Amino acid sequence: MTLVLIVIICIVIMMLIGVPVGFSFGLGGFCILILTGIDPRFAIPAAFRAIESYTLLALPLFILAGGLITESDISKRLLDFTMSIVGRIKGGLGVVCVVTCTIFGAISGCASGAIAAIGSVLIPEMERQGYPRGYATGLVATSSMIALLIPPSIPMIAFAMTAQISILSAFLSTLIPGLLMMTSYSTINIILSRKMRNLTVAPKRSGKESFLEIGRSTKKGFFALFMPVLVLGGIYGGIFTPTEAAAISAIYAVFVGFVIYRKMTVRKMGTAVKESMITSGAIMFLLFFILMVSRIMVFQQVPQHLSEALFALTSNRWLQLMMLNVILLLMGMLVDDVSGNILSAAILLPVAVSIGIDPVHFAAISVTNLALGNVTPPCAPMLYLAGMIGGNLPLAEFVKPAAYFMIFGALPVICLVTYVPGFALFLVNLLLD
Amino acid sequence: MSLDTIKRCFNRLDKFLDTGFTTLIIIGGALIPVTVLIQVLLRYVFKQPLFGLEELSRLVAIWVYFFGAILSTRMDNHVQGDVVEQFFSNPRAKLAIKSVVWCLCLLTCCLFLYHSGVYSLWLFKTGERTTGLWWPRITSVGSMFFGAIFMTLYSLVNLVKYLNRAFSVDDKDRRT
Amino acid sequence: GGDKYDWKISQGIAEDHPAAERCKQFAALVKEKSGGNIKLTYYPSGALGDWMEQIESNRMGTLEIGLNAGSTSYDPRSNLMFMPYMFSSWEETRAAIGSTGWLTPVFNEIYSSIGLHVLGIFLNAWDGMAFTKRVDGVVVPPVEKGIKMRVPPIRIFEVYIPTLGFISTPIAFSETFSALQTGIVDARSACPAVEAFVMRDALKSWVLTKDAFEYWFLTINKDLWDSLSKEDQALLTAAADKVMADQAVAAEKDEQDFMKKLDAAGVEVYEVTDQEWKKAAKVVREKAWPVIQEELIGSLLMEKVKKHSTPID
Ligand code: NA
Ligand code: NA
Repeated sequence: MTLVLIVIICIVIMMLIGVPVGFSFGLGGFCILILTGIDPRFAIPAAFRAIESYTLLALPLFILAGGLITESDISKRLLDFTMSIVGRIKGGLGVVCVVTCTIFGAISGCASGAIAAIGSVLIPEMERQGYPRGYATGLVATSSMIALLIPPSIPMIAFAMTAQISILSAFLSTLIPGLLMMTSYSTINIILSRKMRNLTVAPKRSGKESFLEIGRSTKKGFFALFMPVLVLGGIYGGIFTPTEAAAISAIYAVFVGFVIYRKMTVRKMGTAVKESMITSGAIMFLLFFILMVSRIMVFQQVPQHLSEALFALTSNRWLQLMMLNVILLLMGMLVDDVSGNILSAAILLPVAVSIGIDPVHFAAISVTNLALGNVTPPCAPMLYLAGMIGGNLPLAEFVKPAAYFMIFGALPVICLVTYVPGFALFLVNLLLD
Repeated sequence: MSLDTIKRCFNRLDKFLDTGFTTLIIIGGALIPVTVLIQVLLRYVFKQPLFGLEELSRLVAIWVYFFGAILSTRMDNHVQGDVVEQFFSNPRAKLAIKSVVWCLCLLTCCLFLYHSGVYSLWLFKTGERTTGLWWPRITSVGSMFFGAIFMTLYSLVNLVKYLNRAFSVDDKDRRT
Repeated sequence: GGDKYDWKISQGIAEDHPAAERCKQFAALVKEKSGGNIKLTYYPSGALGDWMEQIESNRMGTLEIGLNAGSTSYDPRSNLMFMPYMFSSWEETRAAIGSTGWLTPVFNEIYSSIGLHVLGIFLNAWDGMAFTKRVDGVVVPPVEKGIKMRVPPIRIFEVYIPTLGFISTPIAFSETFSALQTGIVDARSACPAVEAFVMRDALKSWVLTKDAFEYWFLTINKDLWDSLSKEDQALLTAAADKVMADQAVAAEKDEQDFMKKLDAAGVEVYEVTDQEWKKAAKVVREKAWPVIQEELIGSLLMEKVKKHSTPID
């Protein structure tokens, strides 16, 4: 146990100096194997079998779908659609950002896709209408969390796969939290934009005019708006499994890109496929080694020791939950969401189950907490990405507005998810029983 | 002269590998959703799924993953934190850290190469097969060993590259 | 024997599965009979991976003794463990196992080529079929309805399930429950009473079809086995016989318990009659057995199967 702890600290140090996450866990894992004398043949086949599974195919396929959506003009049409509805109220553009992230979340499983697709269009546009650039960047960065909570969700697939729970129920558990976060972000945005002096609002249109405008953008965006229906309707309507839904959404994006919106070219498609598959390869590689390490930790009974330690500290269920919460938030500061969720499913889930938490509920806890981790420094890939998209902005300029949304928008939702089981499990119980 | 020749040869090899892996990854990446879609169509249109088609999807996918991991190593864009690096403004210190990083990566790759090799060899000898299409399992497990070989190679290249740059920065500093 | 050993024993399903208790019983019995010379440490399920990983570890020798479902990925003949419509009664399944049963040497021969020695065959349960509320009435195979039926991704199921009139749909185990809930499939095969109970929320009825029996295997690494003295080998075999015989009795009772629990949970339970079983058996033996013989188990094994199987005429 002490040895494992030392190696974990080494893994963290390696990650901090910039050793890629996969390699850090790999080296750490091999060190534990060598030092404890456990046969490596215990760990490697297990990790390989896990990344080879059919269910996990959903992960590269949703990444691919995300890449193809970006190239097929779908996100632009979604943006135009929400713009036509709420674009003309004061602070409306901020709401457009939040709502588009939500709709985008229903077709894409990763936060980076939302930032790249929406941020690159909206950040300059928001600045033109008088929002500080830092504010726009912080808003896009934190809104990407919503795209992770609305199914499909790649970190959720990683969690469900490691925990061996149904992806379908796990997906449902963060849907309401995602929608609530959309509401809280929109509210905060409207409150904050009241204080912005230079905000220009597009001239008001008559009821009829704006009605026509909405109609036009709905028509133009029909095939984009149909995508969430296809993906989520297909999964929950019992037409296909999450893995199949992922493949279908990728092919649908190609179809729409080539035939309907005609923005796709063979070259663009090839690039999107190549880049998505390289990303998938990098994720699978780190998955492989994290799974290897978590397999060793399970063998060394780390989860049991952890839960014993937790019970020794306190027997109060609320305090135990709070401690799990803090561990997850700390973990989120150090690792990215996918790695964090695999570790959480392998190490923390047994602890959570021992204090009586439903595995699907814990999936929701883990994914929401670690989604926040994506934008909390030092390891905050989505925050840095938004900074890059926003024009290489220094961190100091957008970390404060981002913090507003994290503390007043995300944290309350996270608390609700953690401490009120019925909140996360409501839809699961309603739709799947 | 010999060093230059080696460099030129290596560049040619690198170009060849890059083109090869990129082509394969695009074909594979396109094949995965298509095979999955065919399975759905077979289920609904022909009322009888093709048994073992998902084994094909998985086989293609596992090779694509490792091609992706190789290319990520080549381009040095694995998922990473690099927090400490942001605290150093000195380019030499940055390159020195990068060299240490790739030294550790190379070590990991060597261990991975060895252990995946041992496992692949054992699996090859036992002749284990898949339950549906009865393919030798080595056709999928082999991807891991294959990936390990080229990741080791590119880790070594990255290490040499950063070390080389670290030293050349050093020279410039002394001159100025 | 005087040699001292310290081995690991494990099973890869779940801690509340009877396999866990049988492992512990076997460990205790071996320790007692060997006067403490053979020490078996039980590792809870999960610690050493799932059953597939455990079989692999068992073959490599990193896990000395394992109690797991069989794997068909080494030898096509191992599909025999799911041979459909071979037996219809518990008596027949019991007579086939143990060191005197006819199945034990057959599986030992198959397993020896992959580096395992079968100490004993574990009677797990009869397979049944579970149906959701989208399927009307009680379904007794063979049917003509074209019900979408989840099958494990194993060749033999693909061969015989369609001969019973179902559309066989391979779905990963982790997605089976949700596939039943949402309607991707309307039923699942290879479903013992206990698994139907686990998935009861998605089910309307469960039929004890006895289309196949689930045999599991208590196996020891073969190199290790060959290195043991005759006395130690005899001791382990005797202990396995005792534990597997106990299980063979308990399994029937467990099944009845779970059928009662299913009933109490509101899932309609139906057990096929002798006549119904024979009708389905006739179809499968005519249409599927020749394919199974040709593709999977070969004529030599088929001879044995035919010799021991329940007569239907
Ligand atoms: Na999403
Ligand atoms: Na973070």
